Amino acid sequence: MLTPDQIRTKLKGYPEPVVEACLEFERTRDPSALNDFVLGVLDFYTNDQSGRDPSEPLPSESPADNLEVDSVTVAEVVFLLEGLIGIEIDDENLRNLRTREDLRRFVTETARSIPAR
Amino acid sequence: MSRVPPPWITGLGFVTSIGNDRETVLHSLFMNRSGIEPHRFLEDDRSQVRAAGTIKEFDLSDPNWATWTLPNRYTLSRKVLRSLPPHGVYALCAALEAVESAGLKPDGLSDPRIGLHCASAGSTLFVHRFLEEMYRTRGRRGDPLGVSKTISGTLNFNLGAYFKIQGANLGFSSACASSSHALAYASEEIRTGRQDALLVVGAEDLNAETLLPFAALRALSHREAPGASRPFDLQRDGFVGTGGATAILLESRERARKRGARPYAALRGWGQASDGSDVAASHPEGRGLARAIRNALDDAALRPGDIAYINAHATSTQVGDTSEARGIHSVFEPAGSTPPVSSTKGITGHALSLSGALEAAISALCLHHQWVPGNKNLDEIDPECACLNLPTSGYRADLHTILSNSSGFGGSNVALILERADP
Repeated sequence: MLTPDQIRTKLKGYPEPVVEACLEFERTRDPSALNDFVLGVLDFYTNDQSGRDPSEPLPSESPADNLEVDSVTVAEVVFLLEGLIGIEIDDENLRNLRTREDLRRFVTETARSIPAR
Repeated sequence: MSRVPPPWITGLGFVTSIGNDRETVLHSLFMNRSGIEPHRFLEDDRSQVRAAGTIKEFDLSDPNWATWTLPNRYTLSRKVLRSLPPHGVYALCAALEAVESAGLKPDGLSDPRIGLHCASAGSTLFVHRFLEEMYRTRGRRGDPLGVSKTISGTLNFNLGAYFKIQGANLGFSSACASSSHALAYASEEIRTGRQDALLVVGAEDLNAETLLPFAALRALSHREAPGASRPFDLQRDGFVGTGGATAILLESRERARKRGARPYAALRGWGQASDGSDVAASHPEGRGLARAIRNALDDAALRPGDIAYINAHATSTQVGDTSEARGIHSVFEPAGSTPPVSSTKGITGHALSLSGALEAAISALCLHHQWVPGNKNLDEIDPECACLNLPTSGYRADLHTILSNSSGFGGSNVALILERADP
């Protein structure tokens, strides 16, 4: 696990609630802290209306949990998380993650394997 | 296959050291205003390089895209930014300006008859970061978008997806002649009727990973800005690096006329030839370049005396500028012609694979506004280059035809001939 300063450096430019959620997990090792982290990163990556390609459908303002997430975005979130909280996730475990809820649940369950403080 | 008339340049877009839009670039050309500033590429930089053609308004210096800042007039979504290298951001911004200046919307390029030609060296910065992670984790981890934002096809991947290109989509790699080749072969696609229009984009990162390797080759100037880039000057000591992007929309006359587009210039003809001599240095007598120019004149059905101005490749290196001077002289002197010659790299710096598109676009602006740019920092003409007509200041002139040269490593030479176009 990184130090709080290293987390802030790695997440520079990300929304503050995402940074806070990660710092909260670092402090408490409470997996539920990662709920806000995962959903916040997904929002940051995908729910962005600035510069939207006009041919794309409008993104939902508050994405439903069952909204699908493309496989590259899933891989990016996991790549970011691996670098932040020191877990390793096998590719096989990612293949069935289709929605925001799938990813949120998977991440928090995986984080339970990290010993509590 | 029947050939149609030379195509028109109907759209131009710039992200350069001398301006990030057509008007600013043109104003810099009028004022001979340099974009070269004091610059150190690394923290605690121990190289002797002190200048670069910096890109203003953008800050893409951190590898983390979430920290990047762009001018407010560009609104690129985070979904788009995430898969771009720095020069991909420049390229997309320049492309959006080119599309807008052509009177089109971004979705107006999604047509089987419209293609995309790109040139860049890829992002060595991002390759470095990507491979560093791969080695550190012994292949266990890597950025999922690491391939699409690093390798030399990155512009084609990203811009092809953004504009939903349905026609030709390919890249060109001939070092500093790359984007000239991209533009030249775009004109072939149109002249042979395979495509009706192509967006041609050249771009380069501006960072240590792209430019400092040229210091190892002793090719970069050690002089202070803004006088470090001094093509054809006796005291020149190497080139000044720059990055950015230029985008050109090349379009068949028929298509452009049909939609009422206004041309900046026509690409009348082009030629290429190689030196067949050295890995890096150009032929001492500029033989390959001279043959490229003759081939371009033949293709355009013009004589040397028809060329009103030459935008030289001259990068401010000892060997390169002399070679080009001799090559130009060998074509024009026997015809009794002494057109003005200048290298706009004196104000822009050398943009590597992007330089051909940048200088073709500058030439198109010069034709459109009837302007001959001067040679910046040309205080004392190198006697080896004194065979050329080298103006030190820009001036208005009745310009009908411009020759724009590009030369790359391996002795690859491209000569483009642009002419004034009237709608």
